[in-house]
Amino acid sequence: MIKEIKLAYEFDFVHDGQKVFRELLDAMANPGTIRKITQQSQKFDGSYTSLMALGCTLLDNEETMYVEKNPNLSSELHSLTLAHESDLCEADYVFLSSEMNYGSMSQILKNVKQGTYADPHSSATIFLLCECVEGTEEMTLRGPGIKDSLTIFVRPYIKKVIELRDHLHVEYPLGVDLVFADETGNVMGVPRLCKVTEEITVE
Amino acid sequence: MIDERHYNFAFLDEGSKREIRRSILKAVAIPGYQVPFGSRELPIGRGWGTGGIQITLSIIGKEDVLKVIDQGSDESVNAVNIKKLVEECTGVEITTDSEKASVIQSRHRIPEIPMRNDQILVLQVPTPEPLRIVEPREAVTKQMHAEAEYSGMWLSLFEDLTQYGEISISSEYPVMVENRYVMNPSPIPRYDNQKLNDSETLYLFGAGREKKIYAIPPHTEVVSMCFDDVPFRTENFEGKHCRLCGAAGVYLDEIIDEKTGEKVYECSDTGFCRGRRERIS
Repeated sequence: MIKEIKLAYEFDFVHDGQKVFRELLDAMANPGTIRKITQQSQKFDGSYTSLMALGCTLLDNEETMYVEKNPNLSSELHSLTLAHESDLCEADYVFLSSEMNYGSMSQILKNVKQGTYADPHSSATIFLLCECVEGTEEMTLRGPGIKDSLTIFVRPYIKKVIELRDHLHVEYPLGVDLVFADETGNVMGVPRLCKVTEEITVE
Repeated sequence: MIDERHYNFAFLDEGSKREIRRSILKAVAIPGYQVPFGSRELPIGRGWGTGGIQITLSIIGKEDVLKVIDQGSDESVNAVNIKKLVEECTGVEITTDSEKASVIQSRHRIPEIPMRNDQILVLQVPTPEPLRIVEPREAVTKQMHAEAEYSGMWLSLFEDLTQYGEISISSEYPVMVENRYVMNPSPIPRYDNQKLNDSETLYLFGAGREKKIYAIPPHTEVVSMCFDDVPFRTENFEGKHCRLCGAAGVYLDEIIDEKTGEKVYECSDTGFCRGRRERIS
């Protein structure tokens, strides 16, 4: 009897990895805009497909990761990329596979690597999986990558997380970069210099 | 074509690409900061654009359209060889039309036609460290950037001013990015410095020999360093125009006419010049 071999993933590390990277690069260079990695993330089976696509694009055995309370995701990322898990305070990439309460989120933001003045690039990038990136909460962003200011509608969780990060008042160039993703393959980047501001209306 | 039987897509192995990609993302997050990276060996000697090539090879995909220019020219040796290498190992479409290109790699010029948000400009950088003229030790310049200690740089500009009556730096004119990092914009002429500020496009800078990558995202504040009472000045081409297409108000190359011995001018951006001539004829 011939059994069909089912592949665990069809993600092409060369070409799909390149496409995911370019979308991520666009997302980080243009904060607040939503980019799509749907086609590439669908090539993974099971849950957390967006995080898998992002992880497989950036991780390898030279980088460390921290995956919050999700041993399955951690083990899958490790088996595909050879990236090792580390403590939160030492991780280069942090993966949060569910929306967390704001107390825990605040603790994570306080404890991740913020870099040093001489080596600000030695800081963490946090990938946060949300139910959806778009939502009802109005949010105005300012910073490099944005012409004047950008007002978008996002899930309230996203705005709150960015505000929690901003309220830590970590002096630039130190800081952490945030990447929000959802299961439909939407990706939004919010680098450290990009802040939530109140929209000023001129009468 | 060199295909997967010979080399990986885009020549570099995936581990190298991943490291360069991670560095690029950090560079975008910290505009003007030089991110160190493990520069790879390439079939081109270091100092011939290997930083730019490594960035181009790490970001390029099958659907991209590539343009490579050297001092504005599509046909110079450096540009032609880089184009050949990337085309051979990726199969991407090559163009000389800067509006058609999705990725432009350039040495020492920014194209004349304003670039769009869906394009990326990769610049080759020989000496990424702007503070090298005031401090030869890398460990010290790194600490100077950490502390935003740029008094040596200001003093150097001031000394130049007192000696020559104006700041005499012709290219690689230092810029301040987001009021935090002093950055070397690569040896572009001063005329191109203003294109870095509040631009629509993403600029990526690669220094292969010095092993540094840095970036300017779109709409980033980039100010050429100068004094309140001595404003920054670009090259002046007033009253001059291109002898081939007639363009004025663009960056021009000065050439000596061999027959007459007179100074004549041509557009530095050959793609732009060719496009104008084709439209005129």
